[in-house]
Amino acid sequence: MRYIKNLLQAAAVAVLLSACAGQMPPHSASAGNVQQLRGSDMSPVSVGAFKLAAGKPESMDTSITSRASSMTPPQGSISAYLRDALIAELKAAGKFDASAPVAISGELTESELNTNMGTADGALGARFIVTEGDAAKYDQDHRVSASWESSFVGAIAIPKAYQEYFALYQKLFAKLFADPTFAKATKPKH
Amino acid sequence: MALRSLRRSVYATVALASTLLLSGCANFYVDTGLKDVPPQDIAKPASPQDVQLIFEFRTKGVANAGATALLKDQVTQLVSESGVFARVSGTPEQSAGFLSVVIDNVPLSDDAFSKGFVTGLTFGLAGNTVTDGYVGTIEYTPAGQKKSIKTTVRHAIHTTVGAQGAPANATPSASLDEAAKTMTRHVVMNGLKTLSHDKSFISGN
Repeated sequence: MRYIKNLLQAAAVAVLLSACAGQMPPHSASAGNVQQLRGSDMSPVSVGAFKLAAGKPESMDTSITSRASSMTPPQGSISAYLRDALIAELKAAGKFDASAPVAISGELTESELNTNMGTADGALGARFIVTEGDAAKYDQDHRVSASWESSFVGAIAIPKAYQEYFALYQKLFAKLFADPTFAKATKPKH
Repeated sequence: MALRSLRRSVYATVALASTLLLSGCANFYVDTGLKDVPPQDIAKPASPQDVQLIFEFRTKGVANAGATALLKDQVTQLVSESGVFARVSGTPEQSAGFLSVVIDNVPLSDDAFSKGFVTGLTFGLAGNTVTDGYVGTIEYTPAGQKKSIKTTVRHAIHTTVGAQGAPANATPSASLDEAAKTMTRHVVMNGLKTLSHDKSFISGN
């Protein structure tokens, strides 16, 4: 009986520490992505609109949840957060030009975080479209995922889950930047 | 019997985590394998160049946005005040080189020595002492060039729980924050020292 009381008290502490809502932190450009972009022959681009892909639940675009904790993007939507994150990566590499004729727009196709006990996983997906004027030059879905050991204790599992989730943005952009047809598509016709 | 064992395990995990989080009984020590760098040990270039700095903290190779945000200003200040570069900026410029500083918090086990870590302690989980390893990678690419100069620095923070004595070859820190900042200072300044003496770096300045 005493054991159950102690366990409940400890669990309550863990829940109190973990059950909270917060704002998603600003995206930090990846050193690896910036180095890769600097070394590539990609042309500077502008960034257009990003939105939730058709048929996807609205809730996917509003917040990300880990057990009893949730985080919301300061931009109002995760698709807008994805857009700002892409701009941060491009700017850090000198590949962003708001007036460039070639623009990248996108759709959020997946944003998942499952902080189960034992093994947790997360996934992020987007459709990236490169256009110049009315001409579409690139249209490709990219998806990245991760899985990791997840603690019973929420106060340990939740920060770890968010760390893994936010790292997916860097991984998603790394996949996009590594696509040779993407770099080719960024070159203006004139 | 198995259920009882599982209950004990669960209780122990929760209790340990709660203890660590709430009681502040953990003590932090920075390994003495790496030390502060006296300013005169850093070679100041005759004509220092501007540089764009990117800093990233990783945990087991995975980007850690929270720790990056916590240490970014300190790393920027250390690089700015080192005298190795003229002006440090977070954005790219035509005439600026590119400096990438990445610190990765890696798990240490018995093969730590083979990974290049040198301290007087037993690594991993030894009694009530846990050691975190840090691999700092400093990479500089001069303006207009693709070939970079890379240097790697290794460091460690030891954490003891309870009323255990201080580990040997380690300096106590008042908090984890202080230990992390000391480790960061040691990693960045020792990396810059090596970079400043690199022949390729000197010839480019």
